[in-house]
Amino acid sequence: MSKNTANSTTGADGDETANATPSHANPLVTVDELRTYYESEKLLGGKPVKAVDGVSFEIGRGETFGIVGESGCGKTTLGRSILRLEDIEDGTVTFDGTDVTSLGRRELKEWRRDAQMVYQNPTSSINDRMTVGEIIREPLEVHNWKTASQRRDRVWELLDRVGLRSEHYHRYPHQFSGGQRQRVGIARALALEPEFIVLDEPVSALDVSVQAKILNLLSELQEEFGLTYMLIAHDLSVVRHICDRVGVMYLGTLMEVGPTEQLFESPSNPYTRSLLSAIPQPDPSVGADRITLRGTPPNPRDPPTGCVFSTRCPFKIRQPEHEQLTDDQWAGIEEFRRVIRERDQARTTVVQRAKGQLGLGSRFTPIREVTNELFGSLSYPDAIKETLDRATELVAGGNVTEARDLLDEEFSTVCEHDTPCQQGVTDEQSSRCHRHSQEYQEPGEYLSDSGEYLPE
Amino acid sequence: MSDTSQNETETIDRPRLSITNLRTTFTTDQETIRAVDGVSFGVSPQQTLGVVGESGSGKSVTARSILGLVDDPGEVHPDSEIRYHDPAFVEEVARTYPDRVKRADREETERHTDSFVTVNAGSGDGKSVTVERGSVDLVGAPDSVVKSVRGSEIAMVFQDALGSLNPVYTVGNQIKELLDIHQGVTGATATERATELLESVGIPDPKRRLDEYPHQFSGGMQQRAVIALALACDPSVLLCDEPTTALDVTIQAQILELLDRLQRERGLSIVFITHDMGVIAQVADSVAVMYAGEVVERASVDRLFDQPKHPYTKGLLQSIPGLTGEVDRLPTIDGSVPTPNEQATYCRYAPRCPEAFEECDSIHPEHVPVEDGIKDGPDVDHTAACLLYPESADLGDRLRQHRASDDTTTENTRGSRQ
Repeated sequence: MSKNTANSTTGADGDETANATPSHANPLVTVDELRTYYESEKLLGGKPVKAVDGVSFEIGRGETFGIVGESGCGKTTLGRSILRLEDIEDGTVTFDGTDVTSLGRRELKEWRRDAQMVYQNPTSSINDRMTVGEIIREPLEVHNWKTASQRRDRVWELLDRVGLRSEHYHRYPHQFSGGQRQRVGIARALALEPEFIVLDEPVSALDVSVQAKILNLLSELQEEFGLTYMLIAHDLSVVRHICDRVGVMYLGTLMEVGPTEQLFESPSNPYTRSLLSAIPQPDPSVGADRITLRGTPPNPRDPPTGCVFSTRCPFKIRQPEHEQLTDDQWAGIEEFRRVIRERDQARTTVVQRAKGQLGLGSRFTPIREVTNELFGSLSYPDAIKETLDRATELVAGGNVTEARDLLDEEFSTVCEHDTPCQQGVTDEQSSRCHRHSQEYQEPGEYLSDSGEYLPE
Repeated sequence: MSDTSQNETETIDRPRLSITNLRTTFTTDQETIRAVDGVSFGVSPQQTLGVVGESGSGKSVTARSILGLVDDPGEVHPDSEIRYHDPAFVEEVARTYPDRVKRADREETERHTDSFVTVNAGSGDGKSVTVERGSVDLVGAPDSVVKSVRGSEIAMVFQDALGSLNPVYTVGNQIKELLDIHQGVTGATATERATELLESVGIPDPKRRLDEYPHQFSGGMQQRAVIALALACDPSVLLCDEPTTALDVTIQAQILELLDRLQRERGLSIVFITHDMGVIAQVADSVAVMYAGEVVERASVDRLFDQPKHPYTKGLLQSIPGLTGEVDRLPTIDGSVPTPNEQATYCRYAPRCPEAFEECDSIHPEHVPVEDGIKDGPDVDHTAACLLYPESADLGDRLRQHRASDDTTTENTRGSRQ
């Protein structure tokens, strides 16, 4: 697998107009502002789940492009949308100069010869009632590929190519191990000689020693057939090993794109930094010097305003008067805001509300207990303390939304107001973060200034 | 009574849970699968033992055997020993079963063949015995004793968090049920305790969470709730079976941090089972590497990653992507893990081992120190079951050593079977 050996240059920080995606001379796949929404409760005026929300990138020929992110960030939906296995809301996918989003049924079927997918779960992605031969032959039959005997020969050839034996033709999937099943899935994807394969977590379900073999097989096949891969994974070490370029996704948005080594060595986006530092290193001498993100990714049905990562970001821009707060103090405030946000969103039934009003006990922990727990051992400057106390009073009085607004007023900054745009950090690396703008410190500088991983 | 003082010096490193020659077999019409075949290890208070291996190596069955959770046709061999060493618990059991106590600290007048409680240091007799040092063998113990260990003394956290929670009861309900069964705590006190537990595992706004169902929790929160359940009865040993495998790295980091904090706060002994070498490096103090039902190498975590000795451990470490730096091909281990279905009279790793030689097929390697003659230092506990060790001895000596210990173990098993 050829690694791009692009040198990183210190780029134009804060250049808003910089072209976000590095231009490939002749990309095979171009994704532009792709959006895929899942809309339920539409009739009732519900909000759609924005699984993929405005993603743009390019994949060069023969390249392996990785997509990483936590579960639920929309990476699988992105892969499926590119292959048009999902109905997209907006945006275009261009494959070899053709806009595939506008293809009709017949053209789409024709195009699918060139673009295939390998699925994550080797036990459920192949049909247990068909023999391995039939499974691999099926795409050939669907596309009326040559004659029956040529198809059979092709299957034998494929079996051999992916490291299975010809007598496996008549066996059933349950007779195979996980690694062998994944080989069957790969053979099926290869059957029609595609140019582009979306690999959706191809090795996540496998043991390391088997995983290594499948990764090696994928590399060999890429070299032999000149394939272009898009690898979706949550295992960052796999991505680092196999990918030329990587995109990091969070809540339907591409946070950072760049050449693999550059991205792993000098991540610029706060989310990438946090994600990378969370990987357990197989080396006990490495200290646990990591950024532990608090909380979980927000609900994509109700994403935070502004930057999608703002609710968890350890590098969040603060208002100038709050810069002096310690990490613990700031964390307390953030946690308090999270609790109030969750309460504001939690649906309360009529009965529960009535019970609360009659003083028959609430399903919530009394807010004063929460604040005692959060702020008990901390002391804050008077102005902040006053705001926090006022918010607590409001919640105690049942005005959760007002408390939320009050805290937003006091503590929110550009991170919660505006969506950051994708900016070039270096020639090939681009990232979405307000800190890349000139008026703020870069995430890296912010770190080195504080001398610690988190600001003191 | 008099010998308590002389034993005090060794109390520090004494394991809280020790397993000797554990064998768990699954018998079917066709064959007997020796899923766990002669595994030994121990874990001390405040310590974390990492058990690492590929799927099918017997990691999970080991953990389930400890808690007596192996179902038919699985069977823990009666010669196996699973000893729990908590003095308070041993005393309680010794008082309940006075005629099944073996006094290792004094000359016995009568011998009990079916004793499962061993008292190594203590005083008194019968129902008023006090135990300072002793152990309960969970293999020989009656079901009621095993049941009282489960949850209250040794608890388990499973990989599939959602699967180990009941979907039709609220999380609070499940915790309260547990408190009721094990400790007889009910009503408002139970609610109070449940709230505290959820809070201690870092679930914000715990009281609201008590009334929610497992599916309303995120993956990481579910695992936290499962840990809260495991801790409900204040166990001293926690068996974690791949607790973070199904989670994202950022959430995994949170859970590992949580376990670390709980260990410090409660002095827990943790047995951490995983296939992820990265996680092992982060959480474990010592490591046991399992292969086809056997422990093939045991060492402190630093030693293991620094100087892996067994060829399997070396292969496993090399096949991790990203660790070997910029390489086009990952080194792999040929073949796949065999199913251990017969008594090992050979090295089970030999068919895949790049360093195998002729004798590997005829002698079953025993655990030996990787280097001979070392009395102290970090190397003393580093053992490997491989004919290449001890490194300092020549081939003939090594073979003799392995063959001799192999014979005695086989004889022992044979003898006790009669």
